[in-house]
Amino acid sequence: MDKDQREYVRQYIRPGIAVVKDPRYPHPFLIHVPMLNLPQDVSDDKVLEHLSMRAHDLYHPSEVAQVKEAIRMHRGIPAEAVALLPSRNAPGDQPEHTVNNESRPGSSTASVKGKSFVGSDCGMPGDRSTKSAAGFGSGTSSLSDRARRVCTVWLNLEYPFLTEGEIFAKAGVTAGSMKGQIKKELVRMGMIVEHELQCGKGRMNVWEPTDKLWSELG
Amino acid sequence: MPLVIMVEKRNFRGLMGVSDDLVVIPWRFYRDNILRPPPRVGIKQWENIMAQLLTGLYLLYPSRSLLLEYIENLYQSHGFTGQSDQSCPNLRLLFEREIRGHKYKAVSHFERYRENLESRVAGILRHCGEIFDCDYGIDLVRMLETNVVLEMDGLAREMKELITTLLLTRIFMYRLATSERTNRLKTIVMIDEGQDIFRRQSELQEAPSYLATLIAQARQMECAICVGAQQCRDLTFSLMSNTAFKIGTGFVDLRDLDEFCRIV
Repeated sequence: MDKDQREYVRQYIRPGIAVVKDPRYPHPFLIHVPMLNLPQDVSDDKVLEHLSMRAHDLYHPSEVAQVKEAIRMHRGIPAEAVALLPSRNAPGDQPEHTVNNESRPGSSTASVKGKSFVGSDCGMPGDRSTKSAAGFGSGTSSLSDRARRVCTVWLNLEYPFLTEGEIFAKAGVTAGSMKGQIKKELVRMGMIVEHELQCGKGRMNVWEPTDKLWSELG
Repeated sequence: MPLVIMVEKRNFRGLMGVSDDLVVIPWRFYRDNILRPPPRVGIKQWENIMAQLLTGLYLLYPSRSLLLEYIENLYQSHGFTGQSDQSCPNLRLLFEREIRGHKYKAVSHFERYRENLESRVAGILRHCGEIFDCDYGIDLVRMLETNVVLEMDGLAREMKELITTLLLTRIFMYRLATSERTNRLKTIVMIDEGQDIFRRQSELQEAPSYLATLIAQARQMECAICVGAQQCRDLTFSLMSNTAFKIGTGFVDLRDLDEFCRIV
């Protein structure tokens, strides 16, 4: 940079502003740095559970079991509980067991010797407890079928941390008017709390399911 | 574009909520057999690189040929010819069978070189033996198709440098062996807190590391490297001169701003 450019950068640089030098241009640029608020409370347990599930994608097949065992020991899970925990990628795996039907949809709880371990892979779409099945599709207080279907697909995902657009895409809802109606219904009935996530210059909508939605879906 | 992010802290875990595809690997669960060459890379070439990398990391240049001899012996005794389905010896085996297994006259040069190697490799195995105590390690090809965050919190600086250099070497050698030189970017490697790995102080006081050689070749290997650091005056000259785009923000003092303005 020459003297003038340096002076220019000195004057304008401040928190939230970055100076960029692209070799294709002779002068520097000043840009606003977008604030990205990522959740910081992702626990070790969650990270390791995810890694354990994805071990087949990364490690050599002969070492997957060894890595999973190391993860299990690190997490302090007794060996007896392993069979009850979900493993997504093992080819030919049987669907996971749901040990405790009182758990939330999209999660399984295995209790061994007084400890409980929560997985996030169990609970097939359509599995409902007797409590929610009674109110399904009837009465004004229950969700419409299409909203229920979207929520069921969403909360039965292994990792349901998706944006609004991604949730609709997963549920196969493409029409804009339909999306608007479903979202309005869910917000009106207090099933979700909506948050805005800044991403670059734009924003993404993120849904937080409420307890009411969990109990509605059983 | 697949991302490989190497971080010191745990602040990239939040990305798990943004991308389903992202896998966070704490360093204890990272696996890499240092003696197994990447796919399609010959063992002769790989043993040379590894000897250079390991001795360069600890400035044990005189011990290089001795280490090379040990690695060759181990490959031969193990019957490893570089085939991907063969069992390959690992660093622990090299340490126990070759480095500790040889004895020379107490006051000879060879014994001194061997002792240096022994103490350094023992240090590596003590710090992060579980990483290198494996036969295959992480599948590089699959890893380069996935978004990966490798967390290296709590590791010593040398270990971070070793793991970073090893991973970059694997990526580069693999690209070199398989690539058609399309000049299209295929992988992005992000290194946070780069001042620990690209230390200017080391570059000035010691010989250029193997990492510097790799960085100079990065552009040919269809791999982008992004390095983040608190102060640009801590980063090596080799990194600065091989970096096209530079972004500076939150300058703590004018000295750092001046340094940034000088290098761009």
